[in-house]
Amino acid sequence: MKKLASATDPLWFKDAIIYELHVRAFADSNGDGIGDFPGLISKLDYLQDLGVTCLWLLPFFPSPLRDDGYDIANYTDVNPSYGTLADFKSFLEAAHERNMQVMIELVINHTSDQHPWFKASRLAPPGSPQREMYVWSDTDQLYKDARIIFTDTEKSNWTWDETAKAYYWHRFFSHQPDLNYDNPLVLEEVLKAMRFWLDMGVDGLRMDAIPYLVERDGTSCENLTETHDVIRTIRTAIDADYANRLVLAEANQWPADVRPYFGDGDECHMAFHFPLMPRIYMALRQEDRLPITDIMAQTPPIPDSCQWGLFLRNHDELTLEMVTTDERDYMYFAYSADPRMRVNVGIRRRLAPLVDNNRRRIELLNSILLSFPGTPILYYGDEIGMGDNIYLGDRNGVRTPMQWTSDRNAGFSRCDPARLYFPVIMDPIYGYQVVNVEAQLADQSSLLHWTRNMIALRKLFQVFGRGSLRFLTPSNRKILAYLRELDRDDGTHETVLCLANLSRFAQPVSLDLSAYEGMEPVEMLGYVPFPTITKEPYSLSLAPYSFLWLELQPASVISDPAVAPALHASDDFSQTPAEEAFALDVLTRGWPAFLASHGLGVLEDALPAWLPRQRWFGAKSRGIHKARVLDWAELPIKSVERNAGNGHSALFFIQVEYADGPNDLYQLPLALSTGDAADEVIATYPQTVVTTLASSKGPAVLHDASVREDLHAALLELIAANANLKLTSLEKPEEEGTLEARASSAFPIGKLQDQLPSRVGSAEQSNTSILYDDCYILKLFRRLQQGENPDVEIGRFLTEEAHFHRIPPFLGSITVSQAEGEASTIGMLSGLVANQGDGWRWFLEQLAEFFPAVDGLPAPPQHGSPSLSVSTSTTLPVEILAHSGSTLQAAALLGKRTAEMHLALATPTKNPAFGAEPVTAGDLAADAERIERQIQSVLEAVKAKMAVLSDSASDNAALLVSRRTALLARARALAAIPAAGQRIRIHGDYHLGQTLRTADHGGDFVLLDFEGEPARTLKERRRKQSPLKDVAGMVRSFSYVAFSALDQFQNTRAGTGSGVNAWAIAWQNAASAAYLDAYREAIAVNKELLPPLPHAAQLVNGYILEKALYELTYELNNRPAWLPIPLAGILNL
Amino acid sequence: MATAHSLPVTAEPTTTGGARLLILLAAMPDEHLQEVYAQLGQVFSPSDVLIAAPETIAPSANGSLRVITAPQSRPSWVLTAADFANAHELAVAHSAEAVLLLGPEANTLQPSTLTALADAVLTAPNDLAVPGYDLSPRAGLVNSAILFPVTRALFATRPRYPLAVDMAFSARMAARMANAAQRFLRMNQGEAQLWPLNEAAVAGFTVTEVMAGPRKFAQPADPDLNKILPLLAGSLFADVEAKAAFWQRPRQAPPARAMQHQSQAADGASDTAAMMQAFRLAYTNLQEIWSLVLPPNALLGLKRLSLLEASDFRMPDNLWARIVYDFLLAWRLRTINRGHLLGALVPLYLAWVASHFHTTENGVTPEQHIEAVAAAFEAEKPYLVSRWRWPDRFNP
Repeated sequence: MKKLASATDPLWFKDAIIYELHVRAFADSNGDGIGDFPGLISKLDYLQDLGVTCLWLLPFFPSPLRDDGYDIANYTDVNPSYGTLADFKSFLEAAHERNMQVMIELVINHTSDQHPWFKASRLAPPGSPQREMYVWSDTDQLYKDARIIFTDTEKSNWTWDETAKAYYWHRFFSHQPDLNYDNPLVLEEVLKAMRFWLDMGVDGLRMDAIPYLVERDGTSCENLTETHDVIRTIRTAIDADYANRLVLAEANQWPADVRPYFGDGDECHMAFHFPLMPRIYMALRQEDRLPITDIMAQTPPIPDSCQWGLFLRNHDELTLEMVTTDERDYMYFAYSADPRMRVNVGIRRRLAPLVDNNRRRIELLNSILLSFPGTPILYYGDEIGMGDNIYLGDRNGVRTPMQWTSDRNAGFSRCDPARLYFPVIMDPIYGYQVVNVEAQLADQSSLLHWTRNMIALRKLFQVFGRGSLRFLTPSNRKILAYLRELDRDDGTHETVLCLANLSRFAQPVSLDLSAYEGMEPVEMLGYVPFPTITKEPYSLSLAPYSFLWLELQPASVISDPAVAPALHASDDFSQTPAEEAFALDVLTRGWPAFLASHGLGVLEDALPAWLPRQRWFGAKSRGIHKARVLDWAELPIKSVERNAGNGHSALFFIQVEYADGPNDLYQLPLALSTGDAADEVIATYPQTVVTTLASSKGPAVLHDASVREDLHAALLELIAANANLKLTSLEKPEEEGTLEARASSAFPIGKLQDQLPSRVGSAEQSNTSILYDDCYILKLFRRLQQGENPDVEIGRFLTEEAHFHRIPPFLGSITVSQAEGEASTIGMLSGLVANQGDGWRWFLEQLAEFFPAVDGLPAPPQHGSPSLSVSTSTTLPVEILAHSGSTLQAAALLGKRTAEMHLALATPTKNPAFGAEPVTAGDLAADAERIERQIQSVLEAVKAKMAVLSDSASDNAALLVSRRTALLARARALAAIPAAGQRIRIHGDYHLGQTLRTADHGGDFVLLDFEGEPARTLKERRRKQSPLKDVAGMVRSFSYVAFSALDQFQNTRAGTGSGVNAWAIAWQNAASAAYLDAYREAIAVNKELLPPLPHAAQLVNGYILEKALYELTYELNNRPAWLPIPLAGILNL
Repeated sequence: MATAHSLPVTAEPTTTGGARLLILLAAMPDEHLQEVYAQLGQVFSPSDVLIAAPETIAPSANGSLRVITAPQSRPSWVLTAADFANAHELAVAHSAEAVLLLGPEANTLQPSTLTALADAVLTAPNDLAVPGYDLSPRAGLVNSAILFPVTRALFATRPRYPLAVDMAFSARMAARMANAAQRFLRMNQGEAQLWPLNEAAVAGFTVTEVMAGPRKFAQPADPDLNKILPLLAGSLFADVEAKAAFWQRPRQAPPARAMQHQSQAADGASDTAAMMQAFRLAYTNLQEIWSLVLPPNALLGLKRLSLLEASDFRMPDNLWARIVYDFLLAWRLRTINRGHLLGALVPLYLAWVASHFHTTENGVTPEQHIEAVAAAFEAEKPYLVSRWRWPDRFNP
């Protein structure tokens, strides 16, 4: 009868603590010197007390034991030395009773040469199904590209068989012939064996040697497509008949090559992260975090339903296959002074001897194991610091009997010591008299107690098994610092900061935690609160080899519970009736009552912590002093009725005051949701929740209303109706402002009878886009500035006056006006254009094919600065043309469209905001001065952040700072250019992300988003400028896309050649040249617009510098990982 | 008020139509059952409710009430896992929106309590409504000393009686409780206690407390404190251990309860001499066990307590809180046999009771003192969390 799995959560393995053991080595119940299942059962209470949740058993099947059981002679029985099938079932039941899952081995690449299948195969005629169970050949010259894995013992992957008169294939020992998956009978038999154990209730299968299942000549015979087909078939069979089971892949490969073993979540649930393990040891010995951060940077993302398996040691050697030659040599020197410690391509030692039995090193490594993203796997005996015996052959030195007591045979067996399968460890340091479970249980300060406590602690926090990982980059590289974060299913958030001092000496560290300003780190082992985080660098000192786990908690909640918002929807019953009242106000009496009671205070208290977590909030690096509600407007009731049961949505206008510098004004639509709507908000949009309040209707969630459809409909109706609304000022109630919605001449009157399905777009960064079906897009501007938004202004001009058709049609806008001052645009409605994604994504996709094609090819010739093409046409190198697909034609088309846009913007008009004006010497001097100022300010910012820059960025940043004089000279030279050409309104923030790739004309572009650079003032953005500024922006964008694509390529492909970097530069220059050539030709229609071409080239260079400086500031504040791109861009000028 | 009209009593639940509220009654004598029927008939419309009783006895005066036979469960003085499993099964079978569970001696509940409990889950968005009983100052002290303060401090719940024998809950709460019950039923432990407040807190469900008047309670078959305290504390400790990942997350402490039952000190001085004597005897005999469980500061506190004159015998609230937390931790770590461990808590509990009586005989109302004790448990929660996470015996 088929038994159910013991776990109820399909993702149980993500929270598991796996313990690897060998039945033979764990406990002997019958005194024959060999561990067995009854012995293992007697130790289950110990394992439960240790806190492990899943037991991984090494092979326990009948076997000649020439490879410690990995040479299986019968898949569906138990080796008599270990007990019987009934004993295994008793063990399985006993483990499940203790809430422990059980994982066994599925060794399906090969069998023992004593397996009946192989015996029959040798005798069967060639071509028969029995014969074809294995891989036979008349020659040993097939599959010559496959490496030999056991280099110490095997000289070939083929062995001649006298009986069969043929060679048989084996990737491992010659007594382990490989099964032949080209014979369907093999998979059929393997599935039968698998079902045998799963039916019994086994929870997991570790698939041994999984990359080698299928062989093909001319390949490495590893990771083949056909192998993945086999794995998918196995997984499909499991999913069809069994729930909550686990398949763990043993694929000793680079992360990018292991990634396919997860498939799309349809192959293995877990896979070991082999390359990480040796690098942890390397980082420890070198006292440098780089080996760890480097390999994690090369680790691609995996499907949400999958997990990495992490380990410090296991039953095999510390494998050094996945390191470079230099790294391997280093590891040998560092960790295997005695050559007997080496086997195959690795080091056969246990954890404690590897780190010279230093308790703090053991603890440090375990802290990394338990806090890195993945499921930790402990090897039996390492929890007590067992030693090894390098005088035993093969890898048997790390497979000695478990040391339970100081009695005879370490309490493992009552037999004559000579009868033990291997001798127990008896040396004076690691001998069983000193290192054993009994002694460590009695010693409260033992490694065993420490390990047990750490496991229990890890299990309290789901973030370790399921959260994201982000490395911090303190300047002291002896410190490994990383953040683990998780949005839990119950709506709460866990953030843990982990620090590890890899040095043998105490170390200082200064961390940039400004994004967590106001949070209070709580040391997790002792529940000790640390000083609250501020915008200043957070300084800590770490003792030698020490680690810190700090949970970041909202300090304000603890210190001021009277006004602080509840952390969690379920906290509602912890609030007083008085606090419940103001939540109820919104639901029954509307926003005025809410604001008149405590609601305003709650909102304004919550915003300083909430705003920096919003993607659209621009000043993440500035400390918020205060957030004040200035004005607000409630949306009409007609739309709200569609969301019955919840409060009205309202638009709030928030003044954000910073610790220093000018204030900002932000738009924030708010709503209060209860019941199912609240649950949905918490589950789907947790980041939008400003705070949670109690109400008589249950938890009430005050949240950003932009996710609610009733708000979307209300805003669209406002525009359709050309409506005006009253704006209520909280500071000056007597002064009423107005909200005005206006439709353009292109607005489709009469087409809005039915409410269109709507959603929030995901692409926007500084604002929020609402998409109405496939028809319209309403951009809600978040940071507001006085004056009409350029996007609205230019959209209207290009649509209604210039009739330029390569933009989305402008349909309407919403503005707000206070009693005094200019109106501010808060929303703009445009038509949606059918497209294939933005230009950025399109080029990235194209380049994803470019880099694999050129990897390994000689570096192409470089042909100078891209801006040269402004003045002269360029002949592109044939090497680039051969591999660049349609990208260069697309770049040229974009150049043509850009010129057409500029010609449209220069359309003669009476509108003073748009009429073209001549460029004067004063303009050029102003350009020079502006860029000069920008250089000064950016270099200062770079210097201030130097300590927290990543290792890869800090060198170039230092180089940039050293070039201050040259950069300033370049800027000043602009002032010397003779004045010529015209100033017009331009796009202002022009890059590939502001274009859409469309299918018309066989592939074209539409240009959008004329808002300008959000960080600049509105006045600056509306200023008429040289169209060459847009041109410079697009040239920079080609650089960004080239290096982003290169980065993606390198993340998924380990060991790429250094030449690809030169190819990235070559493509960037070629694309820029194609773009500029086409631009120059198209813009020539209006000869007044540009200065003479040599001067134009000089100007473009200046503007490229300005643009790259802007990018540098943006990346410093928002995406430090992207810093190398603008840095390289400036340095390459 | 509904007019009674007769409906035949049905033996098979499936043949009876649905009802908004399923009322599951504990086993009780016939006369008590008839009194409960009468009260239910007064306050509920027969069409809205379906009553499930362990034995199908037709209401003598309110024949219109629909009564079905509930599955038999072992009679108990508190609600058990089997009761919650039955409640869910019946609620699903009859598509009930909510369940009202009434324990033994429910005939002594005021009718207004019944409606308040039902309304709390039927007309308000609560998942669980439990009564706040108005008990005599000397009743329910295991609850006051351990169950209430531990539950409140760790799960941030407000209700005063976490182990109430009457309660109303929503269909989804019924499902959650049934799921919790299954763990025990699988091990044939249907008589185990469940902790609804803790379950609701973990699920993020809404809980409310309904002020109830006085009520009589059934007594356990063996009312020996040495059995009752280990039984209840052990059950609560097990639940706390199972939910450690939840209550260790930072949470706001609940506000002070609005003490609607301002019960006064009991008339006359209580006889605390025997309790203090039991404590002092244990101080001599149980030192060895206590020293395995309690850190030096607590042992010092107990020594001082043992030396106090009877008139000055007061156990500091924070000392009591730490003692309970240390026993909770020792229970988790299996420092000693769990039965012996909880047995060793009994004389300490008696010391607390004696101290409580002395406190309340000197101008402090029992509820004020219990509130102060609960506040001490909240204040000491970080002590528990730190020891739980790093249970090194080498501590202050």
